[in-house]
Amino acid sequence: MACLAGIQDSHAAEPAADPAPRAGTAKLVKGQVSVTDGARERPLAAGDGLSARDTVVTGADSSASFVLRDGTVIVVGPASRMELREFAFDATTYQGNMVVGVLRGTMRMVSGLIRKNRPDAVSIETPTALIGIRGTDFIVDVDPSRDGT
Amino acid sequence: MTTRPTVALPCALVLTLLLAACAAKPPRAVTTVTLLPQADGTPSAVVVTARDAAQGTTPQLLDAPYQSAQVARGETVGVRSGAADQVQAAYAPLFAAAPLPPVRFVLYFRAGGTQLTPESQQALTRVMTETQRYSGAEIVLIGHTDTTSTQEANDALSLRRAALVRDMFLQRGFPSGRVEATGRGERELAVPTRDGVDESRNRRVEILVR
Repeated sequence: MACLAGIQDSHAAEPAADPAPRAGTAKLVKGQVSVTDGARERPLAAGDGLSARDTVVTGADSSASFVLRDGTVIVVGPASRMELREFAFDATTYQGNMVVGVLRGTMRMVSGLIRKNRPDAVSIETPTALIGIRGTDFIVDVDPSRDGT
Repeated sequence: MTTRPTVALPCALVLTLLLAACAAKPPRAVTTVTLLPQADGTPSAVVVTARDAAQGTTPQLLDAPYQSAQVARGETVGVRSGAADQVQAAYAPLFAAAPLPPVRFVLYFRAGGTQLTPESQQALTRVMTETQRYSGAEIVLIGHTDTTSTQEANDALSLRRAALVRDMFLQRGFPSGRVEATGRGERELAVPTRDGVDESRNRRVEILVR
């Protein structure tokens, strides 16, 4: 399952035979937004499910927001690429873990019950940074047009 | 880039395109992390660490609203303070696309079973109306018990209560993929009691519309 998968092999994962369990639900979807699980790309609409290992890709002037099962809110801004690398949540005990990759563009996260229960169970990765959470609401901006010079 | 041509192109051309795409892509991006205030005003913080950081590089702590940290070339480049209006203007789509905050309802049960009180049956209609305000609405049902009986029995009973309410929403036509029933047993008492106490306010299903 997703919780056992390493970060490194998330791209090389075999497509699952069953549809992946829902990790979250799309809320507001504006413009061109698609989701790919590595095997198939699908357009995103409000109410659609998001699963672990899905990557959300937004076009210019586009955005999408999601609420994950633990109540975490994710907003993906325009021209962005966000991957839900790992997600596991037990709704009875509130134990779980989550790894989110922001490869390009902007993302806002308001963290939910997983972080509340165990702060180090949530991490965010970008090409240059690792972000650990001790609070809830923040923005990550990955600007590929700048290389830091 | 993200889209792949669906028409088969000659191999050489594809390779050229891929190489061009790789060459055009900068080796690194600049990451900026900005902390926002929590809705309830409680303190909040994030820790930002550069990947491939040289040994001895210290992670940067953001612990005041609108502070930001930048990471580039394997190191964090300082922490800057910021103002609410600047951040909201710079990242307007991230504020505009935020979902509505969830609303909560509570339904109460008669002792020991899965029968709703009469007032709670009427509340179901109000919940259905509320879901119409939400784009991609979900109903989350969290069953709870009082402290009579064992934890295992209460886990099962709380789930039965939540599942019963789920069936009521499904009968009213709510999409099954967007209603989730869970039971938390006696972990989250609305009214704290000792073990073995019959307490009507703890026998409930919380409903979250989001």
